[in-house]
Amino acid sequence: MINKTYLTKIEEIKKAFHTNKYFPSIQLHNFLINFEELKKKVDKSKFEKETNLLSHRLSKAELKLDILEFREFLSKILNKKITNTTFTVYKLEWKDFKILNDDCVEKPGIDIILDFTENWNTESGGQIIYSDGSGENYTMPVLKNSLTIVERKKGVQKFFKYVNNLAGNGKRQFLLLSV
Amino acid sequence: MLFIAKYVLKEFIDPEYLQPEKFKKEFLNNKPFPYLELKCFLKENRAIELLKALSQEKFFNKEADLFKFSQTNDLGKTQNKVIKEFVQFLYSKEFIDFMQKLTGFKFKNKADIAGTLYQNTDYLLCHDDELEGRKIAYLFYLTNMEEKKGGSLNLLESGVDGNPSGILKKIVPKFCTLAFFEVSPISFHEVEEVIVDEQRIAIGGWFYSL
Repeated sequence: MINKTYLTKIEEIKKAFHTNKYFPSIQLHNFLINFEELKKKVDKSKFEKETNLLSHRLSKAELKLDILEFREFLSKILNKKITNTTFTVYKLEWKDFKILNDDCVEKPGIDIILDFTENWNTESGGQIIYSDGSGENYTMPVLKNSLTIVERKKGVQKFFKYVNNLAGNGKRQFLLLSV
Repeated sequence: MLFIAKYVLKEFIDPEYLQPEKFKKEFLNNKPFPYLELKCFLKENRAIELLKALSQEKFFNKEADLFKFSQTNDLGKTQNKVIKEFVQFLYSKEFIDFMQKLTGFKFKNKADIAGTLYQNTDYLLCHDDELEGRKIAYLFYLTNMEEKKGGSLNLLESGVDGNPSGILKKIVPKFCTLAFFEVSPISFHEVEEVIVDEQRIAIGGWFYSL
């Protein structure tokens, strides 16, 4: 499942992840070997549209990635046993968003993101942006077949940038697991 | 005094609107919350020179989870003669009295004022505008938009849970129009994304409770 290059460089990845003490994060490109196969599964997810105009408008589904190799990989990188690999699949289309909301404050944790977005113009929005509450934002690049790991420290919250008309009929899809 | 008051207002607004009491009932009864859309409110020559003057001001990109648009600095501090005159008009006792009679509210004699510019892909998502003391949010539109091009100011009704549920009123920006609404816990509104390569320009801000 995982690009073999990464399986042999776990210590380097761990080191890179923790390099930024303030905002520990890493993005691994060409992460999945069987990307196309998993993409088909993602596309077949039973999405449900959710709308709360004060917080979000997006489509969601659930997908269990019960793959031992993946769980072990994450456990080693994060120095903690990862048992639950049921991801939330997000689908963002034109007019979708998720904003910061005082009623939905996330506790500190780690976000694991697998990106299945293809042919996306970043001018269309839809990026995952982490905000530390003091005006400092970190925008995660949209990249097909990437694994992004982000540690959310106290006060760090995320939002999904509004998807604008430049997206046309395009859709942005990613899997997200918070541990 | 009455003559002076009428004179100041006559300089800037269409004579049709010189009796604010006539519009109070409509303002208070409008749904989903008190608002008014006064078309051709600003005299056309004033609006034209204001638009020209505004084009000399610097607009700054504003971007957060809730919005993306451009805005000037506080126009109360501008050096531009035309804008200064407009700000003086807006802060004048006569205009404040006009707004008080129209709404039935009492205001401080100072308002926030800034120019806003929405271009293709710019938007303002749903929120209520509530911030201490804000009583009326107002906008003088200085460009025309068509509904299909985006940029409408949408007023949303609230559901039984108190959350915004749907659009009840769309105010499509029209040159010289003044639009305003009461700021309250249910004054949910949004600016629809502009979806064409056109500019939606307005001057707006808030009046504050006395």
